Amino acid sequence: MGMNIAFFLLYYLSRVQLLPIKDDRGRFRSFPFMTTGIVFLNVLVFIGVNIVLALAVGAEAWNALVFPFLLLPADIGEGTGLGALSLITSAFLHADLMHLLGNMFLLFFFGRKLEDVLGPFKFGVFYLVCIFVSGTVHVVGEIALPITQGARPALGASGALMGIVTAYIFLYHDQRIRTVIFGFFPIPETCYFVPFLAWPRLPAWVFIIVNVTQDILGAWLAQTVEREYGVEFPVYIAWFVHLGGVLAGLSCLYLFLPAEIIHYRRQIGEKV
Amino acid sequence: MHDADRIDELLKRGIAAAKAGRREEARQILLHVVELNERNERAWLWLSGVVDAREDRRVCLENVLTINPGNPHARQGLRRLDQQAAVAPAAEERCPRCQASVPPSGRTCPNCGQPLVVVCPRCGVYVEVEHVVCIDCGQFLGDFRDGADYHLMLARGYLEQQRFALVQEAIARAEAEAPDDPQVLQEVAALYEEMNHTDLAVAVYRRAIERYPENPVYYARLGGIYRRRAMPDDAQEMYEQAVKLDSGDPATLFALAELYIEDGLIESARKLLEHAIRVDPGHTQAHLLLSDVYHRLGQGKLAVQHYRQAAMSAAPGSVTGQQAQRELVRLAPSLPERRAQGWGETLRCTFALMLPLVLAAWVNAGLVPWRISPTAWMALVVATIGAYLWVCAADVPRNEVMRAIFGQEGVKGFWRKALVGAPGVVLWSAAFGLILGKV
Repeated sequence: MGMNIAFFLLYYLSRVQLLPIKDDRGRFRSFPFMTTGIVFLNVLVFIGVNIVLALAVGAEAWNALVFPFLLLPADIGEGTGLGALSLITSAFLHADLMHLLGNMFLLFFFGRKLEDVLGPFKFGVFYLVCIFVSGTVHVVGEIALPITQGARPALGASGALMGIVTAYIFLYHDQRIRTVIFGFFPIPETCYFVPFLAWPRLPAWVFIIVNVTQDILGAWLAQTVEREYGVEFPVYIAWFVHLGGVLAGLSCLYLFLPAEIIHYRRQIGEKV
Repeated sequence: MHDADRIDELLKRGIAAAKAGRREEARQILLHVVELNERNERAWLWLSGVVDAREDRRVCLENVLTINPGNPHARQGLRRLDQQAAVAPAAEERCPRCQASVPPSGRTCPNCGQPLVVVCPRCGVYVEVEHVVCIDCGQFLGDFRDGADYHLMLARGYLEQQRFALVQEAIARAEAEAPDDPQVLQEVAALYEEMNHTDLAVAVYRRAIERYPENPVYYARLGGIYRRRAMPDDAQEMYEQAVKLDSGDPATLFALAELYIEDGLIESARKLLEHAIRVDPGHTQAHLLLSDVYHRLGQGKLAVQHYRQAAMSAAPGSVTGQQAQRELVRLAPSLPERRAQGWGETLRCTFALMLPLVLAAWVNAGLVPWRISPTAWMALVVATIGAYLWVCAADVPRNEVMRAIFGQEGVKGFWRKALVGAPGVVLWSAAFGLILGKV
């Protein structure tokens, strides 16, 4: 029963897309060089690897070429493969265009706000830390799965991205964000979908609640399905990477914040 | 009732009747008072104001001076009577303006229509227009020969006492005296504004603009009214015209800039505000708004600079000053030296830079710390030195070690930062490369 509820909740949540458009913090101290640079690098890698290289060498050779650069938890656990480098390379690779666009959209929205506070260099290092922490949590979580035991590779910027989103919400939890919500809700026991589109001003914490709920449900279901039924969980999203990103955003942000912000938030409780 | 009480009561009634303009009644009562007490100074003085004949007035005033030789009103009144006798020895009353014969207790001249008496703005007594001060309360009334200015001054006085009907009357007389005078038009419109008769004020300004289209003040004032009436487009048009005619009024420039910002014309607003500050460098509001504009344009340093100037030029404890201070704290906060440059801060920043390297080394070791290779440990030590130097150049330039090396200023200036920071970045990057490359 619990699994059914979790499954349907996860299913319906995964049908919903949240695209942040604008918050009330519309000001930047300077141009967000690092965020733009990371987005640009991701797009460049996508064009180079997913389009140019794929067209040049063909699908089979492409798989063989790209596979070592993905995050394979089993390899990390055994200390083989590219190791820590694969955490970085996999964070700049994306499965398809929608994967890239979704991640880059969120990264550009939340990243520049955070870069505004941390400054470009610290933001860059924080991004690296989020990649490592989320990747490490993913490695531990995936190896613990009874059947796959870390054999499934992962890729994408979503782990680091979740760290950025979490850090943003930690700093600006009372912000309201104009968000485009769209998706298709399937009607149970029919083959019909109900499309919907809305653009409310959502509280910032909604983003983290929706994502963390999906990730916890997904991670729990993946564990339970494999343990109880002896089959792989059919939906594969790197839930543990996302949860690791949240952990990174919460635990490491303190080290990167400017001293003045820590001091003044403590002193006068004022938003920065 | 004692005699004294009765006399006081009668005196009050007499004065009230005189103030209300019931001269005959006042005369009767006050005569009764002086019959009862012929040494009542106030009764004689007030009686001098309600008797018709000049000689009777003289007798009354002389009686006042007999009782109190220092009474200034009586002295002034007698002096005036002497002057009038010299100018017009005839016993009949004459209009002080047109010199036409007027009825003894008339309020306006039947010939020129000008008032013969005015109401004192402070005490409300009717005073003859020749009197420069009120005979009752000493309020300065002005000289009727000043024409429109005299009536406008009275109007201001009436407005202070919220006697709006009298204000209107005085305004009408001022306009009648000088219908085309630009100053009078401006003052009349301002009085209407203060009375919240904005329709009338708008009408006067419009009339003024028709007559004097080159006067920027009318446009600016009209813009202000339109703005208060939530008519931003009309207000903007008026302000733009005012600025076109005279770009030297910071208040108009500021108001137009505010409208531009509401319209999203940030760049135009910036130019106006910069100009306003050039004209008036101490314009606190302009500094505050300009810093906000710079902030929106992403020019943080200029924003901070103008917030500072706003904070400095604002009155102590003012809302504007507090707002500027708050923004300064938010944008460019300063910390106690010990906290900003101490070892705690140094360690925090250094550890932040070391974190990705430590994690990378840990991941490379298969998440088992004791499998971290000696090379990786060495790289971590090197990275720590590099991170420390990087932090010294970027975050804590005046920490104890740097002060010991470079003096009190620490790592200040481009070359010092490069000298310390560049090796730090190189060491850190090299160590990171070693760890990632699993060397």
